[in-house]
Amino acid sequence: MIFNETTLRKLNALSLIADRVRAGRLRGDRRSSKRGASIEFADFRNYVPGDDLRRLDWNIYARLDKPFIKLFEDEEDLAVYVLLDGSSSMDWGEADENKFTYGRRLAAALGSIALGSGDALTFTMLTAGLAPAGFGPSRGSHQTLRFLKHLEALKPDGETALNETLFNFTLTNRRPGLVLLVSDLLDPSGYQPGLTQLLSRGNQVVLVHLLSPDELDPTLSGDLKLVDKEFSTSQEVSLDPVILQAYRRQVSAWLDEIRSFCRSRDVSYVHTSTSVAWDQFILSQLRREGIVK
Amino acid sequence: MSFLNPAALWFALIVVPIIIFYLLKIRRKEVEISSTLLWRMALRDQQANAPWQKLKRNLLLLLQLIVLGMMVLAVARLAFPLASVASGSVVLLIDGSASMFATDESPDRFSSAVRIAGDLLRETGASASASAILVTHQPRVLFTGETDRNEALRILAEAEAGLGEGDWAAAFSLASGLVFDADQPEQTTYIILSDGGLQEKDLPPLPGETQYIPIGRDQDNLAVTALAARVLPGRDTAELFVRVTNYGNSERAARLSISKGNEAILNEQMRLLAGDSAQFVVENLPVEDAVFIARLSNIQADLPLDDLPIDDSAYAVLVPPSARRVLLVSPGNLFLERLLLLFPNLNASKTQPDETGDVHLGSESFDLFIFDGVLPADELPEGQLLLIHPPENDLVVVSGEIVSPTRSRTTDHPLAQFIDWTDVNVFKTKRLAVPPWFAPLVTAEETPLVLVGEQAGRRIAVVGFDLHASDLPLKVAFPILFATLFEFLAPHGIVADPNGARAFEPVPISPRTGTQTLSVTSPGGFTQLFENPGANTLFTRTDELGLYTVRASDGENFEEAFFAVNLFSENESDIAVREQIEVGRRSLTATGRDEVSNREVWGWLIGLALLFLLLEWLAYHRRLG
Repeated sequence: MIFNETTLRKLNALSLIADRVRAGRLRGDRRSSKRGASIEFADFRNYVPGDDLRRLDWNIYARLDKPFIKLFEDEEDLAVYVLLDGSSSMDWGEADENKFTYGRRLAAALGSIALGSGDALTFTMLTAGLAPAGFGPSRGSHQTLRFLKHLEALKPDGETALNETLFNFTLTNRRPGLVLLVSDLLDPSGYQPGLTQLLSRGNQVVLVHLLSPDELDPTLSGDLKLVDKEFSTSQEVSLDPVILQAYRRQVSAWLDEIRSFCRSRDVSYVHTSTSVAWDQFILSQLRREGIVK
Repeated sequence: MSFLNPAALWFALIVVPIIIFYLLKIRRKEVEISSTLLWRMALRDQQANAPWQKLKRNLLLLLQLIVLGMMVLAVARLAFPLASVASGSVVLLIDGSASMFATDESPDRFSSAVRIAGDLLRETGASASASAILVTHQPRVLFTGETDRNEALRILAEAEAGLGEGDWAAAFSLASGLVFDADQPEQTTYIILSDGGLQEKDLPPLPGETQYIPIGRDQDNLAVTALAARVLPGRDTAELFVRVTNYGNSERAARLSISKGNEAILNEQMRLLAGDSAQFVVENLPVEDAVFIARLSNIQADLPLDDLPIDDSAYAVLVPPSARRVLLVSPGNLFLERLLLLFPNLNASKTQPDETGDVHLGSESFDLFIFDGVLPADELPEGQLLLIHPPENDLVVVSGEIVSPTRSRTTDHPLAQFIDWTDVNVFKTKRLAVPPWFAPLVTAEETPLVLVGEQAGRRIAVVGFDLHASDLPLKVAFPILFATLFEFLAPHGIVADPNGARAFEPVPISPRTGTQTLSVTSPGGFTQLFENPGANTLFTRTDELGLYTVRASDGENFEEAFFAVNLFSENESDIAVREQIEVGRRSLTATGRDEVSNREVWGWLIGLALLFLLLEWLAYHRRLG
């Protein structure tokens, strides 16, 4: 199991916040901004001919002798898309600090929250030459176990083509929803066109940016030939404190650039290191960021 | 800083292949990482100078270049002009002559020289062998090949200067012999610590590098440079001559006082220009045994006169002449007769053998009898004897004649030291058998030619050949030989020349026949006793300046005499420090104390190179790890 029952119960108490997504098609547990026929009272309005008399508030009519129609909040389901970067670069780090393992747990947690909230969950692992939609859309917490089993079977492989895979994703998932993208963004072709594509389809996008501690602050030294795990390209470098300092500066600037881009596009951006406990990340950091409640 | 082997700096070019190898052959460890994206971005700015970037801040390369630099500097023999000497052996020649008593250095020049020598020894490398020669009248090797600095310093501290002149020629000869590595004499550094008063003009070159450290600052010195008392010929008075010289470089005032015993006979103030001398003659002195003392002092009595006090006083001894009676018994020898007239203190008479060849001496007594080719038939007379070309007699066994004796030469007898026999030719001589109490002065392969000896209280000299059968009378050796013989046979006094001695020069003392004890007491109170002294006793402990007292006793009578030892050396009294000295026809300029020599630091460099090599090894393994 990706996580235990206790964690699952904690997760079931959560729900995803999606306030910038267009209305869905099915009635779900999610409160809609439209007034509708759900059971939760929202407001009154004057009766007009043709209104459903079942929604007339007879008590008020008896007291005031005026007909009022009760308005109820319309509750609808939410399309939740959990996208996990499945490229080789994600397979980095030991044990719990492995980025893919960490990302899979996040995906499982977010997916479980969605299923527990009655949202329509679609999970996709992004790899080049994507075979889209690994799971879903599925709805209901009874799907959680199946979802987790699906995740357990996944293995990272191949190259990322983040922009291409996101573009393909939007072609096959036309219903706008909440897109939770878990990736290290280590793609030479960048990430901006893919995120823009998601936004243009009316999705609310949450970007969970994962990096391992040694990517943030490498402990390498000496004359090295660095081989890219994903693309098998290499980079020669003679490491000394100055070069390491330059690398740290570059990482910092890169994160700032991503954060700035996301802010400008109304993308919720959350960056974390795999050294942070994943459940704490969900329960604390995502709450603080207003992504779950 | 300098390089003793600058050509080795070319080795520094090895840095080029090292860097090229680094550029071409940096061995990189292959490491897999999640993505090179960020690294490429980080290194993008550095790519422009990528080749040099490989070298930049490369610890291993840096350490290797440091090691190379250290080794190149070591091979190039990097040296610093410290007050130290070379890594090879060092030979110190420390001036121990009288001028080194000058007090312009504290406490005096010799102490200063010893101190500097000590500093030099301390600053030499531990492996450098050190030798030191104390240059006095008789140079002495203080230590040789010493590597124990403490022992060398201890010996140095015990060294003392002498009141004589330094024999630099002998010192140089000794120093040349102290080269330990004959194949590399240039490894030896000779350092002359002196005020530059090297008397000799033609000092030979020393086999290694030679440096001269001048000792001293001033040249303020007034000296009594002459003091002599003499009886005027043909008069019954004596006179005293004194000369004072200002060796300083400025005009000086001084007081000259002369006393005869305890009686002051002159007290004069004077002013002397720089380099000037003043002479005084005190006349009409009575002819009697007397000791004169001349002293220079500052006009302000409580201040020292100058920087060299030892030549501010001098002594002179007046001994009234006493004529010695000499009888020449000869059938006729113009050379001897003329010679005897040359000695004013000899009152010579002459007699001839009669027609039969017999000698009749009469009853008159003489101090010295000279028998030239003849001898009295009966007993020899009482008195000293000089036998020339003697017939057979009881004293010397004469056995035939030798024609053209070969390899005639003087012996090392003290009386023979001033006789130059090299160009004297003897045609024919008697063959003499030498009794044990005789000592030869001049000898040939076949027989001795000139003998001296003492027998039964009588002094005897024998010349084996007829003067007419040689060219001796035509040679310089003739008057010198006979003056020596006359002084030996009929001495003027116990001390032949009471005013002629200088420090460390031996003083010949001729006690009268029958003397049982002879003692000589120095001005400082040291007494040397001679039991049954020989006719020509040499007193050699003249290491003090002043008046020496000689006492002789034959058991009944007691006789006292004096002789003076004075400095009287212009070379030593002129204490001006020479800026340069002549050694081996080359001028040695004064080397500053701080420029004495180059201290090589190759040992430190090699040590540092090894240390950096160790660091490089550690860094390499750490990098691999």
